Amino acid sequence: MLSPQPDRTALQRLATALAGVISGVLLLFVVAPPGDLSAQERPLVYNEVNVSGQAAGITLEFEDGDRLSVELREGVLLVNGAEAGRYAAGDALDRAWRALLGQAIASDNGGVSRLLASWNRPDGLSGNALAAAETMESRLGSALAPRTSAATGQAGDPAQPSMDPESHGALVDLLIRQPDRAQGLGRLLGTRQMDAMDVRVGSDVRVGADERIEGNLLVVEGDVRVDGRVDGDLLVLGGDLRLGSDARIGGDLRILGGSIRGNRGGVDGSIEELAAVSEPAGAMPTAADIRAEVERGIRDGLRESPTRSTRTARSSGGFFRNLASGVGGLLQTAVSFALLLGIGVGILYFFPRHFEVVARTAAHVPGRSFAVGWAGLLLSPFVWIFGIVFFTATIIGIPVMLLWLPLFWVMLAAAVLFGFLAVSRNLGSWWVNRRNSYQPQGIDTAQPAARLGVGLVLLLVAFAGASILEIGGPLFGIFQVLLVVIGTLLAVNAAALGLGAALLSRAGRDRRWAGEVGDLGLGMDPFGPEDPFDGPAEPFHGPRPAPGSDDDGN
Amino acid sequence: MTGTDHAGRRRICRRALVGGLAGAMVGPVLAGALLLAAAPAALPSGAGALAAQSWSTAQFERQPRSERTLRVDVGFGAGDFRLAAADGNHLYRARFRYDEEAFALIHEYANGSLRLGLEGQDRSSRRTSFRRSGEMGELELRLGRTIPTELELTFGAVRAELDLGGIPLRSLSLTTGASEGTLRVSERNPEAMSSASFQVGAASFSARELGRLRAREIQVEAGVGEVRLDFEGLEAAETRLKATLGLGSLEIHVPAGVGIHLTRSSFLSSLSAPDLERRGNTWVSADWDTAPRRLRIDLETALGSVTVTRAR
Repeated sequence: MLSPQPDRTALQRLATALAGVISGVLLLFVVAPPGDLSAQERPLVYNEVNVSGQAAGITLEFEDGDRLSVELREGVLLVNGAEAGRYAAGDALDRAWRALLGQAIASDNGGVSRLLASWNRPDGLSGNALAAAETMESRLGSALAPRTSAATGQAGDPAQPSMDPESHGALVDLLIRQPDRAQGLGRLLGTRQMDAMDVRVGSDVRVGADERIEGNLLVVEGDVRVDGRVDGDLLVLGGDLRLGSDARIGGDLRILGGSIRGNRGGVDGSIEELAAVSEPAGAMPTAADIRAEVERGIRDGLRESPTRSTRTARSSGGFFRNLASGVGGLLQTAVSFALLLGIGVGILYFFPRHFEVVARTAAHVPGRSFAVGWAGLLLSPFVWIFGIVFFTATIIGIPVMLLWLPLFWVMLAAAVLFGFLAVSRNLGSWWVNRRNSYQPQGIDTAQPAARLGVGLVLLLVAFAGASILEIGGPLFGIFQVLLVVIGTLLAVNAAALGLGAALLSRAGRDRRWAGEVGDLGLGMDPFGPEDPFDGPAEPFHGPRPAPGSDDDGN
Repeated sequence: MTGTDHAGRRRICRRALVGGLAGAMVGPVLAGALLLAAAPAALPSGAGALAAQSWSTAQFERQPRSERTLRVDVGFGAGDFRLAAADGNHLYRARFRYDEEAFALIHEYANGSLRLGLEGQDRSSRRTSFRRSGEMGELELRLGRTIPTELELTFGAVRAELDLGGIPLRSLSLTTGASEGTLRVSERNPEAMSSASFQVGAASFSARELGRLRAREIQVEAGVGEVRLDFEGLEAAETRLKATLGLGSLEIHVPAGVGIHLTRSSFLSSLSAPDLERRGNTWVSADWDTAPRRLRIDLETALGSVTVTRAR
């Protein structure tokens, strides 16, 4: 590791470096004029063009993963989402840019590259618009230029020092904004001259497996990946370096403000990882610092996450969350119970006879009720559609159809609810009449409302149990799911049975299927000896029950 | 007719009714879902709504890289949709034109899976008449010719023109609601597929040159619309068509030299097949036993009409 250089030496080297930059730029202007980018295009893998009243932009994605987006939006030039200039909406720049994107939309992928690379800003621009147009030209030209042909020497190409004007500008800008980087650059260069180097600033660089750089390479503020060959020295300032298994560095490798990963065996010269000098107070962190910090955070987080997650699962926070969830479920079940009981009591009060007939039909012909109920549930969508088609077919029927659309489902829901409550009542009666069954204290179980309540408890107890198990946490997960499945099956089948009974008895008006007390095959009277049913109030439509039955007011 | 025959016939009728109406249900339900998504945008809030439109154009182009298959899922509620094979070396190219005040564009791509669509986003608008199709958005999609593709299309009220010729399709699923669609396969599918399915709600749907799709089985569920299927280009030794029809009409055109075997479960529906002979509950062409290419048709119809014709 090198010891820190005296300030005087660093300043001298900075001066040398800047001189090298300027001479390199001058040389480049002679060798390769800027803007000549259309000869060869960098391959695009994706492009996205958006043109609207407020904005016009393009996003490009290249083979190596680089992305560039340039957008004019409401007076602001955005490059990769960040403001990079200003213009006036509708001005010559805006119009020319929109025309270019219009052409891009009309062309295929290769055409987009050519169009963008050969785009020239319109004449007559000044002020902000001119600056914005220059930025756009520069960024597009830089992005679309082939990465390796300028920066690397392909087989047979002469080694050329190549520092493009944008890199020059970016480097000068960086050194002005971050003077500490100048010191780092000086330490990194040592006695080397920058004008004999390929210099890349502010972007990631990749040297492919079949590529070769004949000379030295300096990368500032960018990550480097080398799978091919660098004949000279490789210097990296403020970026990470990854060396592929076949990477070869003919000279020295020096890096400052980053890390080296991969195969170091391919470095012929020395490897030096320079320690960054502590930054002066108040200095802004660089992008590389931020990236390194984020990476460290992620790595630390990943290392810690298994133990943390294990702890969390058993922590008190997890228990309280389960408790809150379980209690919430219990409350939900209780509210459902209260709501259903309230509706049931209302039905018992206003429609006691209809309710009784539906309940008895469900108890007397459960198989038939069950089949009819499920058939009703499954066929209901078809009946609904058939009704729509039927009513629509006639002009007169159209107003009826408008009523039919919602009313059908309301009626079906009412029938299901009515039937479900009747079945709950039956279930409650069966429970109350069982020998040795638990009887709620202080409640007159002879009352239909009480039996309804008991039935609802039986139908909802599985959901309550699931909520209680939820408090216990994931340990009881399988039992919780089991209870929910059982509860759902019970509720759905009870609803189907009840709907069938409601349909068979025409909502309690037809008692032909209601049967007689004691004739239910249960070995007991499900309604109890004090069943309040007191006979029909309406004429029968079916066979009259036998004398002595409950329907006769027994 | 014996009692057993009568019971069997009743059973067939019941099955056909349920099956046909089930087919009729699928399209409208899906159409409804998509239309609900698109309806707020399709119902501008006032007379000045059209003037308030803000049209946007967007294009997405991607080149193939390491993809082995491409899965494409398009959900398009309302507007014009066109699909064809791409000319250049594209994985896909999608061009949208839409009112960004009313619709949100969907473009998602990751790991060989592409999702495209337009979703309505102005949920406060509930009045005045529907916009015309062209005023609700356009999507032109081009799919590459090199990467095997699984294609799933779901349309609401869409005017669709699909040319699947040249696209290497491994599977195809098309669900339309109240749409008007034409499909053709202008070039042979480079890939063979096990099955293609079309669920057509209250729509007019015409598919030409389906034989070039190279699907071993084609499933069609039609609701209350008109469906025309043309099997030009058929080359497989045997292809199966399973069609379930609700209240609409179905026309099946078969090229010359293709043997036809048709079975039917129906309820209050009509069948017109002048080139076929009836054998019990099946209809067959005279050359069924000797034809080098065969089309086996299974029909379940309820309240619909089916016509089967064969080119001479």
